[in-house]
Amino acid sequence: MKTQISFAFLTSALVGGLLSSCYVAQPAFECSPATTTFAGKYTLVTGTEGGACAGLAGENFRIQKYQAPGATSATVAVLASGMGAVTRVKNLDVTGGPFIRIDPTDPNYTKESARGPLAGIAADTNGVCSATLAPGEQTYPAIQQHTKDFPKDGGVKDLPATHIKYEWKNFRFLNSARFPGTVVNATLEITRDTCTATYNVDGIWPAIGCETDEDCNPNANLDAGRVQGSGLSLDYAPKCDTDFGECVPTVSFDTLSKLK
Amino acid sequence: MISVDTNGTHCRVPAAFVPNPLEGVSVRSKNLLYKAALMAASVLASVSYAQGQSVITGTVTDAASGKPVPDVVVTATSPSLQGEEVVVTDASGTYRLGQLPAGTYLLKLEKESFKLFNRPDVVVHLDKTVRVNIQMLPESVGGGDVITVVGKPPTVDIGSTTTGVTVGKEFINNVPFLRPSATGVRSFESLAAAAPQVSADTYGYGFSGATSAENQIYLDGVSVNDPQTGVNGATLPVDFIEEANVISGSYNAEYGRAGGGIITAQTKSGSNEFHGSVFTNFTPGVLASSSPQIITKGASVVTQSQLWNIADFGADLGGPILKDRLWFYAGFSPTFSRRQDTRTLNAYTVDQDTGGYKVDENGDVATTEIAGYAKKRFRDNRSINYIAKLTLLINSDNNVSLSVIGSNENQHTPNGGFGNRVAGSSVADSSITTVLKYSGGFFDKHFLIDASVGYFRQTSQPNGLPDDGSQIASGQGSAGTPAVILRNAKNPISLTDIEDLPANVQAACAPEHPGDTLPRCPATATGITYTLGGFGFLQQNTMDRVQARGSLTYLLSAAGHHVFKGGIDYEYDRYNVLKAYSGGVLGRQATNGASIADYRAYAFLTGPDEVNRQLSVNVTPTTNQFGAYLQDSWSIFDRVTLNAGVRYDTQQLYDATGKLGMALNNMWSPRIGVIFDPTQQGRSKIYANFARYYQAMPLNIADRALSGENQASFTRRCDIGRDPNAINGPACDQSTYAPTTSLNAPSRFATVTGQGRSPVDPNLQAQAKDEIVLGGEYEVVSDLRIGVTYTKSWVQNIIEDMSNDEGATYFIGNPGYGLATAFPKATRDYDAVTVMATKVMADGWFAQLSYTWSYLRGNWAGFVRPETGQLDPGSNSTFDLKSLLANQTGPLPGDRTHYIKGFASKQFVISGGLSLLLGLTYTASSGTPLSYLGSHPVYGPGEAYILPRGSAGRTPWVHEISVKGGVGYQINKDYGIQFSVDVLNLMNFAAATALDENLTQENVLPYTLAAGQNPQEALCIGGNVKPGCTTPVVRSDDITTNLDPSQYSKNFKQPTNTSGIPAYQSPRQVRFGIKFTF
Repeated sequence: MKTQISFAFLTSALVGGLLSSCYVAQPAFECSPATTTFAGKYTLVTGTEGGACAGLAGENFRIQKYQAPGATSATVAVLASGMGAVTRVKNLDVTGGPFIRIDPTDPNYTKESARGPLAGIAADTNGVCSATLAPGEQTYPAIQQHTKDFPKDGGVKDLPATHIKYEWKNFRFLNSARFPGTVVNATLEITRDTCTATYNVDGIWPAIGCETDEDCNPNANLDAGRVQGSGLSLDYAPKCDTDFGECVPTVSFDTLSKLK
Repeated sequence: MISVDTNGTHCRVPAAFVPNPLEGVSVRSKNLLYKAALMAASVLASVSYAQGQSVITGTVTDAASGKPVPDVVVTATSPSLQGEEVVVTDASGTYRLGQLPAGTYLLKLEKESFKLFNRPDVVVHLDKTVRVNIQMLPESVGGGDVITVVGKPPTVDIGSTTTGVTVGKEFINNVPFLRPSATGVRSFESLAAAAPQVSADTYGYGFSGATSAENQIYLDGVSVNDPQTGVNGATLPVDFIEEANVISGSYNAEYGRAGGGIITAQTKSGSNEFHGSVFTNFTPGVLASSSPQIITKGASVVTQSQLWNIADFGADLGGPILKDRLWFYAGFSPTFSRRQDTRTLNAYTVDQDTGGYKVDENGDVATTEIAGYAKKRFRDNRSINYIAKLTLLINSDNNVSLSVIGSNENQHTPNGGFGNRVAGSSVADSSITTVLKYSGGFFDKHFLIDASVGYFRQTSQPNGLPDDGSQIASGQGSAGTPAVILRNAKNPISLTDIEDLPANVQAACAPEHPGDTLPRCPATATGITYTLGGFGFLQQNTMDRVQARGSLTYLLSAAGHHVFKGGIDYEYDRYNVLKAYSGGVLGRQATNGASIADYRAYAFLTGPDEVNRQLSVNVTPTTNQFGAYLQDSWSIFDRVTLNAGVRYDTQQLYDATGKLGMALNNMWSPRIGVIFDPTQQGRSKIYANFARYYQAMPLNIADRALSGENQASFTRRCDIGRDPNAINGPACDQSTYAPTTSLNAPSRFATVTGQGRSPVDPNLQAQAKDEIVLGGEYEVVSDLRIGVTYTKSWVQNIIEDMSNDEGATYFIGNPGYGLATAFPKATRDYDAVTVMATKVMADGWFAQLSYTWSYLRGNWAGFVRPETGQLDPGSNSTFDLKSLLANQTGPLPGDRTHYIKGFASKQFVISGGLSLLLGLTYTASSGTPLSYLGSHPVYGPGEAYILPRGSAGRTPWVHEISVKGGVGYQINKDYGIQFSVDVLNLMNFAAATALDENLTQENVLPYTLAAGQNPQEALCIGGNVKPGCTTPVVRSDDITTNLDPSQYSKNFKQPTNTSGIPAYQSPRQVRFGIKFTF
């Protein structure tokens, strides 16, 4: 009888042992960059300080992903506000949004954003998604003041001709449960007419405008009159970059990528 | 002196066998009894067939020596058992009749040199174990040759610690407690209402503090939970149910994946005699009362609804196809119900002084009903339910059965001129359950095998489909026409401009004064919207489940008796959802009337403004679940029973694209219980049990949170007038697109939403509930037992979606652990004491009375969020933001301190085959907690707990008395007829069941009460408020500003319909029935 009982327990132990080995890890998931505005902190690498190209503390940008349902590849587009502010002229008081400027050589504005394929539709083993992007580039002729467009809003004012180019290299973003497409790192070369500058970009999402570090505090602080946190991850240790007017991370992309 | 023990009465019978009136022992002649036995044997089969999980066990001893008697042939027969079940006592005199269907049994014991022994009226319920100890008299003792004990055997389930009740045919037929569902069907899951510690919520019945989506519901052994949400997914009229076991806690390792209770329903089967019934029931609307109507104040369009009637018909028949070999059972029951809607219109009055609408003294817009308009329509529901079952006896130890159980329901709401829509709606839901079961015994039935394969398919249309027959993505009719939500509040639109209304309405809506710009019958205004056009959101769900379960039971004698049971349980669920917006888009007008946006449109981008609209989206998340268990029910020297078991489960959920989305690992659930019968006769038990239950995640989370949903929209600067198709036409084409205001969006015109999906915390743990149950039960007199149980449970590692960054990003995790360490742990602590008395059905009467005191506290209600009716298991809004959790810990919505349930029935036999039936139900429960709610700056109204949860008092007690009267006439031994009338809520009590908890629509910062601070004083409300009272509660959008009590809602704590819970308890309903049986 003892043998039978021992057999029963041995069997259950064996079955238990086998079942324990059925562990399935949580899956890596599809590269999903956050869909609204990032704050990109620019750190100058090459270029002369100051001026239209090398004097930037940072810019906002967005990433858009293009992937048909069921597709096994995807592309992304990246547009920074430095480019967008030229293509969507903000100095007009036009109802419903900014006036859209068209590059005659690119009527469907396919080159406005930097675009290119993702290395894979899912993150790599380090939780990183990367993309190789063709530069975003537009050339606009000068526009003279006229009232043909937007007559009710007073027409369009004078705009000079301009050429602008944003070239993103080593573009990558974190895509983990902790940072679901919310942390970006890249090298960015900006060309505006005759000047050029290269930056290291550390982008975080969402973009939170600020005047003081308290505005960036991820935690609520009733003493400061804030009932909610800033909306930023504590892991960024965010501070206010007053030149930029946005909260920026004080922790590097590589450090953040090691947090699981 | 020798004794005959009848299991607990301990009466001793002298050698002369004088019948003892207390004990009811009689001795008849051998000839007479053998005749009876032979007759019984000829009626019943001579071979064995078993198909249940109920057990009769006991020991047989020699009445003279007191020693156990081995090798006694114990034969069980019953009308509910095809054939007979035979076992032989072992060396310790113990017998065990397993795999029995529930029923009333006759035990016959035979052994050479002992007198034949008969024990009738042994009642065993579904999945229960009763003990029947027997003492046999040696032949050497004088007296008759056959002993027949007619005393009552015990009814205490001495084999398990489970809490709950068993609901059998008599309960169903005699007690008025079942209210028809929306389709008019009295379906089996509502039998759960009979159990203590069970209360109704929006989607079904919550057990032991859990919500209705957390139960496991089995129909003939296969799980019939809705694979998407976890609520019940099948419908079957109770007329076809043999017995249901409603388990509220403390269940064995063979049951898993539930955090609430278990409902196992067993359908009827055929036998060797043809039996059946034909029945009809009718609930006339003219005798039904109405609940007080909740009328939205200041509304221009009002719709009210009233029950018109409910009628059902049905028939069932069971009998042999091949006698002793193959039996059938079939049932069919259509149900029809009808409600009448009435639509009335109200006219406003323009205040010439202010230019706005006049308001009444409460601040609501003053309205006057337009006479001579009231439009009416009927909403018709039809439900067809059926069952077909075959039972085959392969040989004396092996049998199989095949059941097919189905329902088809249709709820039709015609357009009926109620607005300007292309068509009305038709909801067609269905379910079909197919189960193939096998039961077999081997090696003298020391090995028992039970195996089943089940297939469950459920189709549903949560919002219905157009009743003009147009199909999703067809481009035709209502499905091909966009719906547009008009919202123009700047220049309100008149109903007369968008509906074809009669002249008297046109006149009543015409401007009262020259120069009035506001329409008197607004279709749109601030807070008023009007939807016209096509159907809007269309959804067709098809859900499938394949389930295979198998168990092996091994009986072993070692230091008592062991019943080892091991089993596996595999389940594959599939949730196919086809969804679309009619006409490809749901349009929404801007409140300034300047534009119409593609508010909802399935689409994906292939370039910045290359929008590829999808007329429909078809996704199929799936899940695999595997479970295995091993348990031992060890009757230690037949004095103490130790139930020890462990269950292992694993689950993987796959997203819409078929990729792994979430894995739940290593769900080890220990179960341990101990039962002691102080009487040692099966008449009492005291017990204790500890269990951990891991919960399975329904597929909703794989669709909603793990899959994402691509949508893209344009804002079109155009006016569609009353033509919804204009949104897709030239008037609203590309030239009207408004550019996005963003300077950094790659799209210049399109706005993209829904691409994101919630990632899963790599450290995610499966969610579980731990439970301790202590209890005792005692049969005070024959057939009457009283019991008391104490239940304590708490949750572990619940799964929710959360945001660490105030809603910027979400992930799925365990609050308080892993990525969510900044969140408080989820709690749901339940304590309950139930006292219950049960008079089992005997001598024509039955009663069950229970009182439960319970205490439910925490910050997580369960898979359902009762306050809002949200049913997104694992991704409800409760834990979304840390700021939502302030003040959320307290009495949960399911917390009803007192619950009383009383059920009774009595059958009076008059004479000449005439009998009367009286049934009575009384239920009462104390109210649910109320809170002071305000608006959260991100999540909106009703999401901020201004003061700690539950501090605004409770809803009132709800009482209900229902009665049933019946007259039965037995025409002859084969035919009978019964007339009955059920009056539900006889007194038409109309207690409010849902009160408005929104104190204010303003953004409010949750406030922590000081010690001893009165909630009402803190908020400056109630009778004791001093003039000039200032509340310390501040606004969340400006914490330097105190909340202004003048902005409190006048509807606060008034009955409301807002969260899917009816505002009042169900009104009186009268149901007449006729049943012909043969």
